[in-house]
Order: sequence, then C-alpha cells, then structure tokens
Amino acid sequence: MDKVWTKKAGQKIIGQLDRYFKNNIVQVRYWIIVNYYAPKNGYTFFFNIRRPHHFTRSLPLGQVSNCSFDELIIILNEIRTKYHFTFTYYHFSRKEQRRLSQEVNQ
Amino acid sequence: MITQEESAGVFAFIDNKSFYATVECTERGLDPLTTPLVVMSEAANTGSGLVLASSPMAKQRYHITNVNRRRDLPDDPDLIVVPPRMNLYIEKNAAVNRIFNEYVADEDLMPYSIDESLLDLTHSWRLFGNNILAVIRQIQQEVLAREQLVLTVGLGNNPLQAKIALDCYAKHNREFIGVITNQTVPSKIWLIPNLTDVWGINHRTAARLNRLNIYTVDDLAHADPFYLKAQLGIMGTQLYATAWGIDRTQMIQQVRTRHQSIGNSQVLPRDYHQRAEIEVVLKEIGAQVAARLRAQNKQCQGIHLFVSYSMNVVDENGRTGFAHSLKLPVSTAETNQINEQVIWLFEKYWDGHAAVRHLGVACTRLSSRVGEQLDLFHSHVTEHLQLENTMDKLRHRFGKTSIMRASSLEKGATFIARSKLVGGHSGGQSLD
Repeated sequence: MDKVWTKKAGQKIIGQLDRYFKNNIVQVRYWIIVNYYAPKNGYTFFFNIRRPHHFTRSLPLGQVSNCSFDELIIILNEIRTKYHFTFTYYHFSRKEQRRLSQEVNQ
Repeated sequence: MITQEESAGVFAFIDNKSFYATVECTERGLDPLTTPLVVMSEAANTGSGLVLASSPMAKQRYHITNVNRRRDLPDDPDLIVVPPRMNLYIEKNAAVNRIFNEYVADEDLMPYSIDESLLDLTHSWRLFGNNILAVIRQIQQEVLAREQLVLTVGLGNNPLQAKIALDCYAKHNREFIGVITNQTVPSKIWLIPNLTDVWGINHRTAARLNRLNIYTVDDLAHADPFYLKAQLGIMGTQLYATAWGIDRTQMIQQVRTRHQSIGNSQVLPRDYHQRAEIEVVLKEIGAQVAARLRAQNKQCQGIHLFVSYSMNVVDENGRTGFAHSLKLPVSTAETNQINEQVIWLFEKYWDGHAAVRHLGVACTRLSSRVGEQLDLFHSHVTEHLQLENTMDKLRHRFGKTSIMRASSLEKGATFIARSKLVGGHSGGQSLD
C-alpha cells in the first residue's frame, strides 16, 4: 500500500462518518474503535454512538487488510483532519499504543 | 432396531456459535462469549428493525432471541446493536469451510447452511490423531486461531446422530462438543424431553404424533412402525428411524436436484394499495426470476403468483391472500411474456382493495433452453431475448443497477433499494 492509498482509505472513512454523524442530539457519546484484526493482518474501524438511556450503536466504517502499523497512523491522521472523536484501540501492544498517542494528532 | 450391519461412520455436524454476532464481536476485538451484542436489520421491510442474531451473553442477560423486534430490545447502554453485513458472513463461511477442507475430502464436506457444515470424518480423522475428540478440539482451535470463531460440534455415527448431538447436547456443553453413537441412542435420543427438540419434528408434526398418543421420543421409538406408516405415510417410517438414530445417507452419493421451480418473493416496505405500484413490483420480481432462468439456461412453461395481504386484512371472500398458477402455451425465458401472465393473474384475482404486503413470483415446469419456440402472434420474441441477454451481460459486468427498466424509477418500485441487499439484508462495505 502506498501513501496515496492510505490517504484514500482515510477519506473513505471520513465519507462514512459524514453519513453517520448527524450531531443533532445532545449528550451523545461518539467514539471510533480501531481494532487490529489478525485474520486479515489489517485493521477494522467502527463508529460507536451511545445516546443516554439507549443501547449503543456500532456502525462499520470499513476495514483495511495487509496494512502496516505506519500506514494505520497515516489513515488515523487523515481522519483527524476532519473529525476529533476519541479513538479506542483494541489488540495493540503497549509500545504501539504509546506511538499512537504520540503520533496521531489529538 | 439398530442392527449389527448399521454403519458406524464418524460424522461431525459443526455450527458456528451465534455466527453473525460472533463475527461482529471479533471484528470489533470483543469477546463473543461475554459481550452482549445484537445484529439487527433495519431494512425498510423489517418495520423498526428485526434481530437476526444475538450473542450468547445478550441471550442470557436480556433474553433476546432471533427474530425479536426493535421494540423488544432493552435501552441498556451495555448492549451493542450492529447492522448486518451479509457479504462478510458469506466470506467468513467460505473461509471456515476451507479450513474444514483440510480435514476432509471435497466429497466428504457438505455446507448445510451459512453457519453449519457436515463433515464425514470416517476415512480421514486418523490422519490427524488417535482420538476423535482430540481431532475435533484441534479443528475448533484451528478455526478459533485463524478466524476467531467459536465452533459447536455434534459427533455421531451418522449425520442424523451428529445433528441431534449438536442441537441437543453440544450447545450446553463446556467444550461445545456433543456425542451420540449407535450404542448411546437410548440414553441420549430417547430421553430428549420434547418431541420438537428433535431435528425434523416441528410443532405440527408433534401435534400429529400427539394425536397418535405419542408424546415423547421414547414413545415414538417404541411405537409400531407399520401403524406409523399407515397413519403418517412415509414420514411415519422416517420419524421412527429418527427416534432410533438411524440415517443411511451416503454423502458421496450425488442427490439429483430437480429444479422444480425458480422463484423470488419480497416483503414490501409498507402496505401497497395502488394497483400501479403493486404491478411495478410484480414486474420487477418477474424480471428478476426471468434473469435467473436465463442464467441457468432454463425456460419455463408455468407461472405461479402468490400475494399476501397486510396483517389482519381480508378480502371480500375472507381470504388473507391468494396463490394461483397458469400454464403457458410455449416455454419461454422472456421477461415480457412472463410479466404479462403475472399481471394477468394478479388483475384477475386481486379484489382491488386489499392492502398487499408480500408478493412472490415463481416459474414452474422448467426445461432446458435449447431453442425458442416461434409463433405467429409474437414476432419479436427473438429480438427481445437478444436484448435481454445483452442486459444480463451488462448487469453481470457492471452491477445490477447499471441497466434497468424505467418503471423502476416509478413510485413504489423496490429494485434500486434492494439491489444493495444480500438475502434481503445489508451486504456491508469494505475499503479494500
């Protein structure tokens, strides 16, 4: 995968977020799950929406397979150009988590 | 009843535990056994939403079952609700079957449904170990490691025993493995508390058996088989064999599939009252069925239409819908000819008032498409068929909506909305 492709993947995720994020209800918690998905050696992305006194909705944003950790950081930074939702990381080592907190723009 | 000659093969019926929900949990990095998660379709025709699958924890904590509605879900923030992604589930099923294929030959593997497969391990299990249970655990671990899916396995000396072991014992077992053998049939099958827990016995069959004073599997096993056959026909004999755990299926023996009909149906997103709107959908279904006929190189000489009215609606004759068939003078695979007959049937039998909610069209009396029957009254049939073949090729290459009838843009049409669905539910998307 090249840098253009990773940026494009980030743009597609932004496109999905544009569809899902309406910002018309108050007191709603939004966050993005980023999961390392071993069977595909890649990452999966989900947009979680929790309204008060309501079940949590988890909407698929997309997945990338055969994607390196460095490429993931480019994708996440691309998402950060438009949205600043909290990222929740699953199945990342402590070292990777530290790099993510340093290199993904807050 | 089980004779010395009764085959003692090794069959495994394998089920992916809460398949859709497990796939969704693992994709999110969550534990499928401890996360309360529900897969809910919100396609237009499901009303507010229809639960397709729920994780074991959602079932345990909220008593959610499949085909529950949106209104049945609790407003608990711990509960995660996700949309279905049918393409992903199909892909996962193929991946799991590829793993199974490493343990059995092609002819010994039968995918039974999207989350169940039957494996005949009789000839191959010794290649992987000296203990069949150890081999089964190895398959479970391999699928867990490679696809992060949990398997429940029913083991038996034949496919029937394996299926009953899966349904009645494996799901409640710590290792998710259930076993029934020729020797344990009396202790395992006869003691199943409800007749309807046994594969192949539904509520209506159970009611028929009750009328014969048969209330348990033990009663069924000890009934007179000749009396059962006299009362229930060939099904009586089959049920008697089921109670004794007998199934002489040869998996290697190809079953000749008789394509008796090809049909499609759809539940409409709302009640349809207008004739024009209903006919648009009927034509779309007719075109879909005709395309399937052509894809399978078939033509039909019979048309079957069924229409169901909305809930609690009855027509002037007190019916909740109708189903009628007709025979065509010649076999055809041409959309317009099929649709003409469908519309004729609909207009003949619909009372013009009853709200319609469910429509289906089927082509029957199928034959191979070796040539087109020419007739004096339809001189342009060949040209129409050439046009439709071209449309089929375009759709195959560029997608379903690359070319369509203009009527699909009219009010009430469902073709465009349904083109993105797989099995009536969302197909999902990928960035790859």
